[in-house]
Amino acid sequence: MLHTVNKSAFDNSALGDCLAVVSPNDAVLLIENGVYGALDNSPSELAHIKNIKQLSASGTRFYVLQADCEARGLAESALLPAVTVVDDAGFVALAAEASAIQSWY
Amino acid sequence: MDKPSTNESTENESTDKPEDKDILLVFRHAPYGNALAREGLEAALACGAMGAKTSVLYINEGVWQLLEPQNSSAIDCKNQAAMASALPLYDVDAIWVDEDSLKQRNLTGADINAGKIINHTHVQTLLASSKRILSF
Amino acid sequence: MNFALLILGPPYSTQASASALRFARAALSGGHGIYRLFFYHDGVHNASALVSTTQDENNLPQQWSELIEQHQLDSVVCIAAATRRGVLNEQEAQRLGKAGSNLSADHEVSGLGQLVDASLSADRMITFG
Repeated sequence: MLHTVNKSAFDNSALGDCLAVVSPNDAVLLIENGVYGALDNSPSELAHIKNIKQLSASGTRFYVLQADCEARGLAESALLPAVTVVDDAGFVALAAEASAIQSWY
Repeated sequence: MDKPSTNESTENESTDKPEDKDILLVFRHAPYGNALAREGLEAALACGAMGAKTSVLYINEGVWQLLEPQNSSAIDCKNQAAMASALPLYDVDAIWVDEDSLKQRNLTGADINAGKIINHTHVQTLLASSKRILSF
Repeated sequence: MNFALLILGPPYSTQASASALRFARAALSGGHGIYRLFFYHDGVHNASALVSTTQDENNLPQQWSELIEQHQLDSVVCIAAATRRGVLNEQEAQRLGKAGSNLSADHEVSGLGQLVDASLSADRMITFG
């Protein structure tokens, strides 16, 4: 299934709540303010970054919406390697291929 | 229905009847602070009224909706817990409550007045087996 | 794929409606269908015919109207949610004895049954909240 998260990991539990229940088969798409959760913050490893890395290693796919990154001035190079940038068409494709969509907001 | 199963929802999908199609409503927000709890519940009641196989999952801040008793007249609002008790009347009997969310809030089964408490794995299975999710 | 969109956010105050609009446009460009748009909760404000913006800013309710007209989309505003937020069509305004109406004619006003039907009939249901 597809999970969308639109809140920043720094001020809202939405991403953490989502990561707590995602499965290896799932895809997670960060949109709107959710894209801040995709920033690579090494060396200080925040909980959500650790979780993204761990989940990614077991198969969960992570994405960010390009337009929202661009609007907020987040360069692709600043994002976690585990996260793939997709455009609006990519968002639609993820939604089409998923069994269902749960929105965390 | 004792626990959510992975295959249940796919078996009857070839028909067009509402009762053969499942809808899962996910309730993540506390009552009264905004209208999501109230309007999510109204949507669940509508699903039940139309004969759809409806499940509700209370998770994260949503578990506060089930705390009883609530005296909502103190803030001049409709009583969320009382509204939730109408779910079975609309044939919505699959009411699930996330165990981890209760624990994080120092709540137990004794504090909430409805629903079956399910563990993390069952929550994952419930989400994975749903084909239609309304997120509130 | 036939998508159903549940839109819960108002224009401008949050990004939900704008995100939903972009999704809808991308879905249609990609050859997918939109079974229904269902505006609920604060999303009902996207149906306001009274929203005006300055020249340099996009008008979200207008953009929704244009998309609905261009693609002949089925757009429904939940009557209960709209009424308690003061978003009324002419019929409702008269029935309730209100001074004016403000709901764009591109949207139909109906009950939650339309949301349930959309959930059951579309291939995918997605919430923008």
